[in-house]
Amino acid sequence: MIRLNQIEKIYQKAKPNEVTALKKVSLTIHDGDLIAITGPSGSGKTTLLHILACLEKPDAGEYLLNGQNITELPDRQKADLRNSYFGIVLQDFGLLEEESVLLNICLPLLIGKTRYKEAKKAAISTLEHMGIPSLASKKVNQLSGGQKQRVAIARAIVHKPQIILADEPTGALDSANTEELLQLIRKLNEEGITFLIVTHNPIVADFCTRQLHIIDGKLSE
Amino acid sequence: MNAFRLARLLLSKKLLKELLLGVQIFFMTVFILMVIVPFENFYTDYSNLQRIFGEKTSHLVQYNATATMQQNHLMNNTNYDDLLDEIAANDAVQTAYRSCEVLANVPYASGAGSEPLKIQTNFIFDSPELFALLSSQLQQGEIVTEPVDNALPVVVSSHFAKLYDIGKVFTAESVGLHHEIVSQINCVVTGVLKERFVHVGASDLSFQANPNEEALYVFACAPSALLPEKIGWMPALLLELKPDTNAEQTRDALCEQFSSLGTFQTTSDFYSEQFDYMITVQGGAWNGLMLFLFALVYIFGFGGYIVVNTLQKRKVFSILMINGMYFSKMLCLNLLSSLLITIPATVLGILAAPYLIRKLAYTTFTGITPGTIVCILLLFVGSVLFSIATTIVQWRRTSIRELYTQGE
Repeated sequence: MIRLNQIEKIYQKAKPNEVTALKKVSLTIHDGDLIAITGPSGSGKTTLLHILACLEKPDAGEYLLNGQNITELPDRQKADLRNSYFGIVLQDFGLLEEESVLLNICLPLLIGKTRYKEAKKAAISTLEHMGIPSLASKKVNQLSGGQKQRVAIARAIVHKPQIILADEPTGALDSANTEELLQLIRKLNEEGITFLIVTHNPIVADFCTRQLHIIDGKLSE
Repeated sequence: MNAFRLARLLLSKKLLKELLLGVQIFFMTVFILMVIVPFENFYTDYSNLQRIFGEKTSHLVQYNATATMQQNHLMNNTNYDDLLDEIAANDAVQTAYRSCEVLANVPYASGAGSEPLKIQTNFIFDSPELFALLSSQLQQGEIVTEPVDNALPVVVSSHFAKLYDIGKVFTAESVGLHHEIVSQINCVVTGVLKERFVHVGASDLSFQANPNEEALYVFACAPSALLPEKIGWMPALLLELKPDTNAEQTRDALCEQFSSLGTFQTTSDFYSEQFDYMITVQGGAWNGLMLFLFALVYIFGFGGYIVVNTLQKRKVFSILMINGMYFSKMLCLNLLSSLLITIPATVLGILAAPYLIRKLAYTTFTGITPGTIVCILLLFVGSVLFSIATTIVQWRRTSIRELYTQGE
C-alpha cells in the first residue's frame, strides 16, 4: 500500500518563474487498485507519477510505502524500488529504439543482475503472455505505436512488480489499439497488479475503478 | 557479463564514431610515448646513478676539459695524466674515476674473399674503480682484471655478445682519426652486461645510461700488462668526494684552481643542465612543451569523448535509470563502454609504438620501458578521472526526468 501525505513539489524554487506543481497532495493506493488520474495539461499529473515512481523527490510531505517512509531514502534504494516494486510506462514508451524488443524487455532484469539466459526466458514468457511473441527479435524502430506500447508494458511487468505507473499509455494509440491495451490492463489487474494511470482519455478514465482528478496541483477524488 | 551487455548499449550502432576515437587514442599513445621517452630516460639515468652510488650520488663532481683540450687529445693523443692526477689530489676527493673511449674494428663474419668483414665498436677502458661498478650489471659471467691466456679480459654489451659470447676470443683493432689501425688487442669475453646497463662516464665522463640497445660496447680495465703503459686518459674525470665534504664548496674551489682548464659540475648541476636541455632544445624539439600539449590533447580527446558521449546518450541513461539503475553504477557503465574502445586502442598503440617511432627515425627513442608504460597509464587514469568528474558534475545537477526530456 502507498500513502502520500501533504506532498508538495515546486520547480524553479526561489526563482521568478517558480511553479508549484503539487500542492499538499494526499493519496492512498491500495493493493489491486486500478486508478486513473486525469486533469488538464500542466496540472501536475506527470509530476505526481514521477514522485510515486521515485524519479523525483517531493519538496515537502511524506511518502509511505507499505508503512515505511521512503521520502528521504538514498538514491540507490530508490533505484532498487524502481527495479523491483514498480513498473513504469512512459508516454512516449521510453524504449531503446535501435535495440531489439527482447533486449528492451530484459532491461529491468539485467539491471537487477538476473543472468541474461534467465532474463531472456522471462522476457519471452512475458511476450507470450501478452500474445506478442513474434515481436521478440524485431527492432523497436520497426514497430507500430500500438506494438511499442505493448512492449513498454511487457518491460514494465517482466520483473513482476507490485504497481505499474503508466503515463498516458494510450496517448499514441488509435481506438482499436486502446481497447486492446485496456483489455490487457484488466487482465494484469485481475492477476493482482496495481495500476495507476495518468490519462487525458475519458475512455481510459471510465475503464478504471477509481478516478482521481488533479487541477493546479490539487488532487481530488 | 550483464555489465558488458549494458555497456554496449552506450556505444553507437554505426561504430564510426567509436572507430575514430580508437584511431585517435592509438596515435596519441604513440606520440605520447615518443615524447615521454626522453623524460623517462632522464629519470632512469638518475635512478641508475643512485643505484650505483647510493648516498654518494650527491658527493660527485664531474670535470670536463675545454673543447681545445679534448680536441688535442683526439688529434695528437696529448697526455693529460698529470693534470688529472693534480685534480684528483684535492683533499676532498675520495676516489677518482677515469675512462677512455676508442673506436675499434672487430671481425664479425667472413667476407667473400679471405678478408673478414669488420664492424666498428666502442672500446672503453675504465680505471679499476670504474670497471668494478659494472659488476652489479652483469647478466652472465664475471669481471676479470688480470690477463687470461695472454688476452685482455673484457665485458661486453648484450648486443655485442651476439658476435662474441663468454669465453670467445677476438682481436680488436683500435682505429685512429683517419681510420688507420693504431694497435691490435687480443681480447677474451668474460662477462655480458644486462640489456639496459649504466656506464658512468665514457669519453667525456658524462653519466651515460641506457646506451642504445643496438650499440656494440666493449669494456676493459686499464692499465693492463697487455696495454701501453700510459693509456692516454681523456681529459675528463669523475670525482667521488669524502662523505664529510660539501660538493658545492669543493666544486667552487676546483673551479677557482683550474678555471682555465675546463668546468666542474656536481650531480645536481649536471642534471639541472640536462633537464633544461631536454625540455628546451633537444633535437630541435620542445619536449617539455610537446609532452604538455600531447598530455592535454590526450586527456581532453579521451575525456571529451566520454563527456560528449554522455550528453548524446542522455536518453539511454535515463531509460536505464528509470528501470532501476543507480547513479554510481551508471558512471561505471559509462566508463566501461568507453574502455571497450580505449583499452584496445591504447594497447595497440603501445605495441605499435616501437615499430612506428623507429620508422620515423626518432633517434632519441630507446624503446618502451616499464617507466613509459606507467606514464601512459597515469595519463589514461587521469583522463578517466577527468571524464568521471565531468560526468558527475553534469548528472548531479540533472534529474532523471530532465535527462529523459533533454535526450529527446
